This record gives sequence, C-alpha cells and structure tokens, in this order.
Amino acid sequence: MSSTVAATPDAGDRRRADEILREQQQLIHVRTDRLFAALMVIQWVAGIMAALWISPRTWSGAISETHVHVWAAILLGGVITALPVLLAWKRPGRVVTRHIIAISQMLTSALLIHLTGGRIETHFHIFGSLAFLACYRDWRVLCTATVVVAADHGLRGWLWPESVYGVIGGAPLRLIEHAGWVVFEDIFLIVTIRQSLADMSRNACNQAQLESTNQRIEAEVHRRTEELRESVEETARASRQLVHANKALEEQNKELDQFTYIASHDLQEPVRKLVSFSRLLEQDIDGDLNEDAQRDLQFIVDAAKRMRSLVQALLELSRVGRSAMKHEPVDLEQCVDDALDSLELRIKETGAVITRDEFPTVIGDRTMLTQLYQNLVSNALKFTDEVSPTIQISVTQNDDHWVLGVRDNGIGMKPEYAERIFQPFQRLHNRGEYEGTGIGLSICKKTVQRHAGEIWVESEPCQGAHFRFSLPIAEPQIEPTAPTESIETEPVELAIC
Amino acid sequence: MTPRPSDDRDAPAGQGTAFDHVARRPGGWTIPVLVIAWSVMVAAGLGIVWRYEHTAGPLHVAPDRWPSDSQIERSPERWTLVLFAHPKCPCTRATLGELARIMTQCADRVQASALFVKPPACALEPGWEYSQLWQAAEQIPDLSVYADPGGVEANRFAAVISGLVLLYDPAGRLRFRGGITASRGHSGDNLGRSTIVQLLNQGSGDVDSTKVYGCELGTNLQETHQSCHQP
Repeated sequence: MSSTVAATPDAGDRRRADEILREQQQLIHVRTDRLFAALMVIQWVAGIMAALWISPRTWSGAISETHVHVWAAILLGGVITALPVLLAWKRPGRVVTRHIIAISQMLTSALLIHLTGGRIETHFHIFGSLAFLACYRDWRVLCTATVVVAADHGLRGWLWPESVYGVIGGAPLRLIEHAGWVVFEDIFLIVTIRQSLADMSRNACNQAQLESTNQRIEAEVHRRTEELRESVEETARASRQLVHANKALEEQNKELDQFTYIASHDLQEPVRKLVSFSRLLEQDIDGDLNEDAQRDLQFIVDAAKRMRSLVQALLELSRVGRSAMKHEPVDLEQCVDDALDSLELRIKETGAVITRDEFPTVIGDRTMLTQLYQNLVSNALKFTDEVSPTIQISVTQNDDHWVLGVRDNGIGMKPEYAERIFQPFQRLHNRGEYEGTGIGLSICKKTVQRHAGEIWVESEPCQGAHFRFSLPIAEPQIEPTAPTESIETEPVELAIC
Repeated sequence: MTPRPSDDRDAPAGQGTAFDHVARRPGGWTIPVLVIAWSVMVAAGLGIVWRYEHTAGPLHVAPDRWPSDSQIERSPERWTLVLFAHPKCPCTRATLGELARIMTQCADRVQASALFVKPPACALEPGWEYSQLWQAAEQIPDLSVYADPGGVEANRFAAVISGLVLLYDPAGRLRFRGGITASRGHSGDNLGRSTIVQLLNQGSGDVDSTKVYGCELGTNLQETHQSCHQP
C-alpha cells in the first residue's frame, strides 16, 4: 500500500490536484474577502470616531462648524467602504473583488492619515494592510495596492510636494525612498506567498494521491466484500442443504429404526412358533424318520433357534436406540459388580482373573451402563485362546470426561477391523469358532453414544483387545427420550464374529 | 472534500437581491460601471479633502520691525518667535508639535511666545481660551504662553490665521513669517520649520515666508460679531 501512495502521480491525479488547489485558493479568497469586509466597516467607524475626537469642528473666530474631516470620514469613508463590502458580500472570491478591496484598503490608509493629521504612526496602517492583503496568497493584489500607494504619493507629491515629503526640492528621490519601503515589504510578502502556494500545491498533490489511493482501496474492499458475501451465501446455502440432508437422513434413520423395531418385534411370534413347533414335530416323529430326515429336521430346529436369537438381538439393538433413558447419578462401581455377578458362572468356568479400579459416579442410566459392562466383559471372556483370560477393568480421568476400559488377553484382532466390529451383524469369525449374533458391540456403541461418549478399541492380533469408552464428568448431553417401552434385560449373546 | 463556493452568475432570473438581478444583465457591465462610478466618487472626495487641506489662509504683511508698543517680551540677545493661535483650532495641534521640535533643537537661541487669541465676541466668556491646546503649549519647554484678549497683539502683528509664526532676529527685524506645517493640521517635515531652524542656527534661510494653514483668529482684521458658542 505504501508503494501505491508514494507512486508518481498520473495525469488524473494531477488534474485532481489542480482542482483541489483551485478550490483551496477559492476558499481562501472568499474567506479573506469577508474578513476585509468586516475590517473595512470597522475602519470606517474608527475613522469617524477619530475625526470626531481629533477635529470635530473648525473655527473662524468665535463661530464654528463641523470640520471637513468629519464629513470626509462619514461620506468619503463610506464611499470607499461601500463597494468592497458590497462585492465581498455578493461576489466573494472574484478577482475584481479582491483588487477593489486592495485599492480601498490603501485609500482607507490615506484617509486615516489625513484624519489623524499625518501622524507617522498612522502610516503603519499601510504596511499592516499590505501584510493583511498577503492573506489572499495572490501577489497581484499586492501589486495593485502598491500601485495605489505610489499613485497617491506621486500625484500629491507632484501637486503638493511639501505636504508629502516636507521639502520642495528632491521630491522624486523622496518618492523612491517612500515607495522603496513598500516594495521592500512587498518582496518579502511575495516570496512568502510563493512558498505558501508551493506548499498548497504539494498538499493538493498529496491529497489527490490519497483520494486516488482511497478510491482504489474502497474498490478493492468492495470487491472483496462482494466475494465474501457470495462465499457466505454459498456456505449458508450448503449449510441449508446439509441441514436438509441431515433432516432427511434422520427421518430415514427413524423410519429404519421403526421398521427394525416393528420387524423384529413382529417376527418374534412366528419365530417362536417356528422353534416351538419344530421341537414338537421333532418329539412327535421321534424315531420315525430316517437318518437324513432327522438331520434335516435338526437343521430346521437350529436355524429356527438362530433366527430367534437374531431377531431378539435385533430387537434389543432397536430398543437401546429408542427406549426411554434415565438421567441420574449412577455409581459405576455397582454397575461393574452387577455385570460381574451376572457373569459369575462363566467367569468360574473360564477361570478368568479380573482386576478392577475404583469407579466414579456418572450421570446416566444404570441398567444400560450395567449391560454395557456385561457385554464388554462377556466379550473378553468369549474371545480367549487356550489360556485363562485376564481382564482388567480400568478408569482414568481426562480434562472433562472419564475414560473407562476393559482390557483382555484374548485373541485380539487387526487394527483395520476396529471400526467394523461396532457395526451390526459384523463378525470376524465363523459361527462355529465363536458363538454370537454380532450385535453386542453395536449395542455397546449405541449405549455410549446415548451417554454423550465415544467408544473405540485398541488391539493387535494375539495381543488382546482394549475396549475403551468415554463418559462426561459433567451432566451429559443425553438424547431426547423416546416414548416407548423400557429396555428388557434379556441376556444377549455377544460376538465379534 | 470541501465544496466549492457557489457562483451564482448563472442562477435563474427572478431570485436574489436587486444587485443580483442587475448583475445578471447581459454583457456583465454592472460591475465595471459600479467600479467606474465608485472611482469617480472616491476621486472627487479625495480631491475635496486634498483641496481643503492645501488651501492656505491669507497672509498679511507683518511689521518689519518689532513693534515698540507690543506687550510681548522680546530679548535683545536672542531671536524672538511669536506664535498666534486660535485656542480651539484642531489644525494648530500640528503647529504646536512642530514648534516643540524647534524648541527642542534651538531653545537656547530663541525666546518663544505663544499667544492664544480670544476673539472680542468671546470677551465675556471667562476661561474660553484655556483649551487643550493651551495645556499642550504649556508643556513645551521655554515657551511662554499668553492670552491675547480681543486679538490686540494679533492685530498689531497682522495675524489673521491660527498657526502664524513670526521670527524676529535679535535686532528686532522680521526674518520669517508663515506657517510651520506642510498643510492644514498635517504634522511632519515642512519648509517653515526647516527655515526657522536654519535661521536660528545659521542666521539665514531659504525662504522668508510660507503658507499658513489654520482657522481664522477672528481679529479686527476679520472681525466676526457672532456668538462664541457652538451652533
């Protein structure tokens, strides 16, 4: 930007600088015209007062009459004052106005000198007036004033040399002497005027460049503002589209949840009948079927059971996402105790060694958090190799949330499956290797999300798995409760399969 | 940006003052005519003032020898200067200023007197002659100030205009008569003062008389039988 300001002015800047200079000069001329108009009225009044005080009357023996000086101060002073005041009022700033003012000011000096009896002190009015006329910053005005002074001196010196110079002879030399002092002042005033005009010209040039720069800056600001406005509008438009898409997605999710719930709920009855009647059929024809038929029937029974498990798991997942949720202080210590109690038989069978920290109290739903721990510990018990499982249930505190974890020494998994295992029905192993529906971790994820937390797993193959999740320390942002039935605490078969 | 002052030269007719109405006439002759008329009036006025200021009063022949019957004190060793003044003449203030300069330079060579003439018409007005000019004259060193009731001495010396100065040499001969201002009531260098100084210092001068500018004394030579009160 500084380089722009310091740049050489172009033709447009020069034209503008000339325009500014003319405007400034015009303002000065108008202002000075009006100052002189006021001054001249004051001088007129002062002249009348001086005449009335110094020479009010002229005498002839015992009689007297008004002195000529009084009439001269009133009438001649009035005439001298009238035209410049009129022009300053009606035509301020015009060339003729300031030259008439210059003439009038010098004539006023001559009149005042007359009225005061030629006092030497009154002659200073001439020099003061010249300095005042320099306020116009127009050297031609000084020339006009000087010509008037010289003409007055020259004419009176020619007619009455003794009156002006005090001597009869040598008048031309005295004229030069008197005029010389006026010219002496003029020279300095003219030099000052030229310097002042040069300063004004420089200032005008600077102002023109500044205006030009400001215009460019304003144009640039306007352009960038327009771009920013368009960008904001684009962002707002995209945001609106995103909100719309989210809303549509939420609607679809709701519809999907609704469908899942309805489907899983309504499928329970036929699946249950299918399981029951397949068992009855198996009992009814027990021994009457050949070996192949019995094997086929067994397939049907197993498939019906697995279908029932899948439907129950799906219904459970749907309920976790839709059910009403409590927001109350929950002692996680009790949740862990309850989860371990429910898994006590399994723990004894596997000979698992469980270590645990001291757990805090959080805000949430005790049933859901208990099931969360139950699912994670059950998972750790399930995916073990030949060795006895070692499970560590931990808690740490970060800035504004708790980080809780369930670490095991099981088979582990590749890190690239860390996201996949939280999706419904995603299995990493065959059903024959590890039983389960593949829905347990999805329920865990849904539970943590509804408690405004996150869940993730850190694992390597054969290095065990460390499931971790976070819960807020402060009151969590709980999702709005759905006006549906409460969670049924049926045991859910878990699997990372 | 400061707005440019309006120039109403092209403003529509029918608006503004009479000056604007006249000034908008075609040809733009109004201002030149005004300037010319104004110049004529100013020139005429200045001419009247100048003429008034440079119009001298009558200068009568004064006695060549010091009148023996004069009551004014004269010194045989020094020059004798006599000023006749009207007590209320404003022009004479400049004369007193010039006389003060003379006395400053040559007080040891001259015996000076100032006579304030009291016209006969004012004889019954006590203290009429004791004016500011009288007080100013008394401030001048070595100047004797007298009243001249009825203008007796003024008549004796043929003085009719305030500001007349007569200079007699030690022998009693008239060496100079006239005024010591360049014009009416105008102070500053003038031929009368320089001549007197020259006479007092060198015994001779370039001229023996100058013009006298001032009010009429109202002596018997131009007696006016009017009241001494201002109208």
